[in-house]
Amino acid sequence: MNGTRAEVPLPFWVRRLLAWLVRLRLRLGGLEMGLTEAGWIFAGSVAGAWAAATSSGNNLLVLAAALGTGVLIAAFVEGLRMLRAVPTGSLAGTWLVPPASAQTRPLARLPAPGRVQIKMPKGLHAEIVDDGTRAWLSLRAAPAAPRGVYRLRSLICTTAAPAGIFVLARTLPARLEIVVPPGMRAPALHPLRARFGMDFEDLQRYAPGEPLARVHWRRAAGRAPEQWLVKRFHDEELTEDAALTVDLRLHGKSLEDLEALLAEAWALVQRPGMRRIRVGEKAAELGQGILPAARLLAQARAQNAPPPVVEGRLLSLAGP
Amino acid sequence: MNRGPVERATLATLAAGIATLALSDFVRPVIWLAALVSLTFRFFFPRLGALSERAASALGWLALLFACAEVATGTAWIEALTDFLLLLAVVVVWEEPCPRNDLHRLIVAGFLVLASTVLTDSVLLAVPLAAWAALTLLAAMRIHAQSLAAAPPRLSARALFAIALAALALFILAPRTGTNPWLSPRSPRMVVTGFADVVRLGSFARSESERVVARIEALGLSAAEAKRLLTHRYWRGAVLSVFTGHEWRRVEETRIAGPARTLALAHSPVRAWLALYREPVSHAFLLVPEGTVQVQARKLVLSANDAGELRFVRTPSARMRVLIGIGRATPPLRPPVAAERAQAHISPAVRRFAARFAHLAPEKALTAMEAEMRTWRYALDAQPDPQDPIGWFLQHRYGHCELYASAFALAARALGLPSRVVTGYFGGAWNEFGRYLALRARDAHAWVEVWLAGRWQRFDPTPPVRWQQAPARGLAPARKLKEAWDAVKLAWYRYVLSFDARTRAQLAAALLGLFPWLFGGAAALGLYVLARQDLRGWVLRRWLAHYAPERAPGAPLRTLAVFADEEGMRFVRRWEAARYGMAPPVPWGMFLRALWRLSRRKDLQGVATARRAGHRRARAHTRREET
Repeated sequence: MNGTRAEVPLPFWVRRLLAWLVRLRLRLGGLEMGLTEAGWIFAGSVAGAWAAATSSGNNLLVLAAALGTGVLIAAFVEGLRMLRAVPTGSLAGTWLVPPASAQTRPLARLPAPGRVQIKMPKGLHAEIVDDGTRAWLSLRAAPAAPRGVYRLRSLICTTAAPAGIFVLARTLPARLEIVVPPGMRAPALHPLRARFGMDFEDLQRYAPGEPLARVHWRRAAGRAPEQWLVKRFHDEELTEDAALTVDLRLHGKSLEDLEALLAEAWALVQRPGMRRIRVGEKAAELGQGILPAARLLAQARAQNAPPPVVEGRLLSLAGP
Repeated sequence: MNRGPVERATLATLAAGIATLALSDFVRPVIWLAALVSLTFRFFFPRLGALSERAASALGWLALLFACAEVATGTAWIEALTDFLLLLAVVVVWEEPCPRNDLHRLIVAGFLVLASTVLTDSVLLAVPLAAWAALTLLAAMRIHAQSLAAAPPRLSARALFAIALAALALFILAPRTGTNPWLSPRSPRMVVTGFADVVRLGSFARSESERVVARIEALGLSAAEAKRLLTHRYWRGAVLSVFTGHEWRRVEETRIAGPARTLALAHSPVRAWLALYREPVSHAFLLVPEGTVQVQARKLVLSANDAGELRFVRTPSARMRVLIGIGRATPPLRPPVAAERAQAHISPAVRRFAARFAHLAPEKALTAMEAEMRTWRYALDAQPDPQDPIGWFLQHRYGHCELYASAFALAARALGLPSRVVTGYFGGAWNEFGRYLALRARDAHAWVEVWLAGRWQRFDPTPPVRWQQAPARGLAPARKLKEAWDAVKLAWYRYVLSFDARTRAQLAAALLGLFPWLFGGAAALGLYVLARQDLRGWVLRRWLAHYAPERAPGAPLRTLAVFADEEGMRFVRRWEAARYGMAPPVPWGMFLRALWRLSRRKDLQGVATARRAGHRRARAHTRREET
């Protein structure tokens, strides 16, 4: 019944029983329903009241038990309304969610404050939140979210809102494409171009692997690494890297090395000036945005064939 | 995290629980007030300080020990239980606010409510009971949403309606089978009325109490018929045959029926059924009118004797409903016993008074005596001489009904006619709002039965002015209001406390009678709801599912290929203008024509044909799988 966990001091076996009961789900048409722990306690009390009412014929007990059941039914109905209010239009479109990042989109208000969890592939977390004043859909990718392009035709939406008594789940139609690119990893700096100091051109997002000396520490103070900014020097922009080619051959290295290479490529394509990327045999223009590049990198698999052509900077596992 | 709304909601739920116990007679006012004051303090000063969970737990155990000590020292267990629950409420009010404390408060509130359903049966219980249900849902919503905390959730009218509707339906449909007395509602404070089965003539102190002792309604009769049947009736209680000089007593009577929950007193068909709602009065007699041939009590057993008395085996401690069947035959009453002929303790004054009528035939003598006594003065404040109350009464010729009945009965005996005094109720007030008869304490009465011509005949020597002097207290509107409130009480007893299969059947019959109206109302409501629905939107969605199955949920119409041509775009623009409130809704004719014309397009025909072919293939595949 509560957002933060409230534990009633109960014997161990009762707690085990409750945990087992909470896992129980009843399927009815397209709806799946169960009870939370507090919901089971409340439903148990109402059942006890019904038992007492039936054994005694006391109409006031019947009334109290009926009112308790009315509360259960109202909570159920309100939960259904929460699920029905989920705008299916919001479950359409393409979302680019890099690892360790979150995307949000404002939505129409739900009938009551609460959360609707949306079942996602591993490493992704989506929910619709209504805090009583506004509502939004948030999609987060964990730092270790595996890259890939996830095309979802239906989504299981689950909520215990608004009363925290019932857990209701409903499958909703969706046309959702989630692109999870590789994690960012800073490309190695050419020794001749490695510069440090205060004479920087502007700032950009930190990627793991960047030299710590380039972190703008005054801006980074008290922030998480994902929010750090690093200095970008002028001569780095004067680069031949208007195009990037990623060689997907392993060259005897491991898949982890390929992942690191793709992460480096993802960091490079986000730099200004990058116009085109080739990943193995496929290529994408960056003029229309970064999404095609993200899609290519998210779907990249190790190949035996070399890239047909090498355009611009080549990232490859060949060499020491 | 803002805990204020959660605190207030849980405290309000607990307040509803404490309020329910206020209506019980088993609660110590001091402890109840302590709970209420604690709660009020906490509500308005939430930061005043709190008990740690450990301290609260210790105090909870101390409350239990206190209750046990109370039981050990002779307090009724039921009072000890309410003390424990209220002390527990005090503890959880002061407990440190935390998610666990929220649950503690809701659980204690639930226990208080359940206890109150056994410890009281007052009509006022309906208010805190309904509040408890609504506040429990509100508290649950606030507890659940507290981590969001931007704005606390509120109860919607729809949720309240769902609670009320579900509770009503379940209350009506739930089976009533059990009779466990431990969980039956209790009213410990019995109403002391003017009625008694021992009449002490020297120590009479009746007041004009307005307290209702029974409400009676006639089932299945119109208001006029019911009023005619019920008003100006004698409601028989105890039969007093033995006169000891200063008081009247009962004799041990022979039981003719019972003990049982249903008694058949005479072989006669029931002409009318009366429902008597008996208050928890301090005697075991059931007041019945003349002609009672059947009695049905659902929970308690009763018995009938050959003097015409009906008694419960155990005095009911709560309000209860009894069904009384009235027939044409009168149950047989035994002939007089020796005590009813006894000449002892008849004072010379009574004999002198009786001698004045001795020259008349017995029936005429009694009628003349009754007529004369009815001209005397009626007074409730008469204080007769304790040594010779009847002599004093005959000398001063004023007094109350027991003095009149006693003097008349003894005079009849002096004339050689067996007689006895019967106590019960007479008259009562007809309630126009509830269409029932209310018997109040002031309607308690005593009259006389004399054995004449082989049967007991009733004589009532009390002056009729006695029934005209019932005071009409308060202003007329206030009296009407009081009458209406009493009707509400009866409705509570009738439809809640005494609800059973018979009431359910009556309700069903009434609903069946209202079926045309209900059906018409439901149809009108359905049409109204249908008119409010977005029917065009529904039709369009169905059309799109058929002709544009590739459409993503929520995709704007203007992005769909089916509307790509000029006619399609015109329709979309008109549709969007209506949707965004910039134009009136698309007329149905135009709407359907546009969809029809679009459906006739060749490319869309292809889509529909392909879709139908796909369905056929899927069905064929399913059939093959089944084969």
